[in-house]
Amino acid sequence: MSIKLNKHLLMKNNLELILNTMIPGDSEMPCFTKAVKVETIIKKIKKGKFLFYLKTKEINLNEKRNWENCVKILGNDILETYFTSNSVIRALQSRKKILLGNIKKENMIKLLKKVKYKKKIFRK
Amino acid sequence: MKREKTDILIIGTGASGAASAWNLSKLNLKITCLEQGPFIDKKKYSFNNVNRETNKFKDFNIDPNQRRFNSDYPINTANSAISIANYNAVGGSTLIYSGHYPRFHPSDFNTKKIDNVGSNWLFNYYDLEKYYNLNDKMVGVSGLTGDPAYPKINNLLPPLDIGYSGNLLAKAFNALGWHWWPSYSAVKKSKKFKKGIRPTAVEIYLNKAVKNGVVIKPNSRVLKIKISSKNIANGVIYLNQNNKKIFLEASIILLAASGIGTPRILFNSSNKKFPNGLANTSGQLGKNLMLHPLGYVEGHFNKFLATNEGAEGCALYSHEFYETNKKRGFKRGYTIQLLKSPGPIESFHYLKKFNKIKFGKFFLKDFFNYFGRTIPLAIICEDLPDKNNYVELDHKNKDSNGMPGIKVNYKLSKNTKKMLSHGIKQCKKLFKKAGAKNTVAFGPVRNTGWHLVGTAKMGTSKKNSVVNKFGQCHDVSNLFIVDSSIFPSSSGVNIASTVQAVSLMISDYIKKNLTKLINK
Repeated sequence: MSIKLNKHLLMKNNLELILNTMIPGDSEMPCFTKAVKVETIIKKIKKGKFLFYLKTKEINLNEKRNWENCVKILGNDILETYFTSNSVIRALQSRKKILLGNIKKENMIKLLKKVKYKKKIFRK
Repeated sequence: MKREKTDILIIGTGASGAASAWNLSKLNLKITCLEQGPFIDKKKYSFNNVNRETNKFKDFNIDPNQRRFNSDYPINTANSAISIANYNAVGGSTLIYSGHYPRFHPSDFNTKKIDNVGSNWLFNYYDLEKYYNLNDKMVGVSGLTGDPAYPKINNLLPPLDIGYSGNLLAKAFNALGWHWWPSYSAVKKSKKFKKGIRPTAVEIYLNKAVKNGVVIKPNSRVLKIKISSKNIANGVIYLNQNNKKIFLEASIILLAASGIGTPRILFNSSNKKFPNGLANTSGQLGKNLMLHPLGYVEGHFNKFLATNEGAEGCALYSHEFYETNKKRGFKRGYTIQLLKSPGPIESFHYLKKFNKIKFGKFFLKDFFNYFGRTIPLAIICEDLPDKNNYVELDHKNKDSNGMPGIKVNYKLSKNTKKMLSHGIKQCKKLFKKAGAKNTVAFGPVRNTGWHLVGTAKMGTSKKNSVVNKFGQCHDVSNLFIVDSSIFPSSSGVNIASTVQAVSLMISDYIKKNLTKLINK
């Protein structure tokens, strides 16, 4: 394997680790890399020093400085791409269906009966 | 300087300019609209654009000082409790409005007579009703007839769903015996588009006006209105999209640049005869700025209520506290509006501001504790006119063409502070009744200066007002103001519906008096 390829793989692995640690996912919601391709994020931060750094060594996210740096650099971009990805939109919809399953809505017109026959409250 | 000619010139293509453009387009005259902003593709500002939420932080940011586009002008709000929100493009701020479309109350036109505050309008609700109805028809307003807070409003499209949060709050309103009603909304239900279709001034009026022959010139900024020795406006100097100065001659000029943009143009048009601003013999130009101070109360619930979905601006509202009640300790009143909670990205930023969310292990847990479980209520306070709240030219901050920006000087009155505090207390009471686990409240919210009212008020005399009841400048008889700057009072509701109804009324007056006006 060429050195260039090795570096690219290291960078990709590092980035995957960072992204999935930042947004880990749960039983209903996908983790970041299941929702968005890593390449999308690479494209977004292409010109920064950050990617170069990720090519040099395995990142240790337990180090406070490393973690804070990742949040600062990636925060806004990953938020935007995660919540506008199709799989997350779908997951949010199915989560909504499950959570609203037991809640019943009353008919609006029925609810309005109490208001409708209230004395007119506007003044001329 | 190159010269052009038109019969009627309209400055600004937002809610008011568009309505007049359409109404006048039926005449066999040459009508030109100048708009300092660009023409923007409908898909970009649609409710259903997948990037709508992120765009709010970028191209469609409501704050012109953050956008800083060439089409924007600086608005200095360092001396104001509320910052200004607007949008400069063909269609104006309707490109980013929520589409909440209530009418003013009959009492809003008579605040002086009824409550001894502010000033009366020179016409009343019933004079304007015909234009409200016409505008509702053009817009396609959704709502429900029978609201006890208003005279009867007919011909509405089916109301929008009030959602799970609306349902929950409606029960709480009923339990307290308070008024509520599903909102009037310029949003049509649609099977194809989940969030409904919200027309802007472009789709409601401008497209139709263009079909009738109206010419719209985007990226064209008016520098100055020129008048003759007989105090007749004879045209404007504007910069076209290639930054070339052009003199556009016109027989009638309509100003429709909002409560901030209109006084700015008039101040910038000062001359020897009118050294303090064109049409400003009264000295009232720029004064009496009213902004609808907004209080915010948020109720947190244990159960998920999909509060992030539903009507964009307002699902339901209450006018229980709209009219004056001596016991409350303040004059006039406010609307309580049920809003939808922010989308995921805005929710994250909001939580982050209060240090309630971090990336990492608990990201989704923290996120879902808030998202869809929080009901926001807005308290829209009626602002009273005050000569100490005013706008003036800001010579230190200039736009991309070197024209002075505008400075806003605005303080909250004691009356408004009491109103806000009362509103917050009542909303908390409502949330308690609805079973909220806790509430968060604050006000006034700073970046909510949407409704810019009162800076060129109407009145009977040029001693105390800028325009007459038909928006006609006392000083310059062929110069009309058709936007919200002429309103003598602000009401406690969103103004779009009244802005357009008034604009239609004024343009009808122009149509009826055309010969007289053109021959001056």
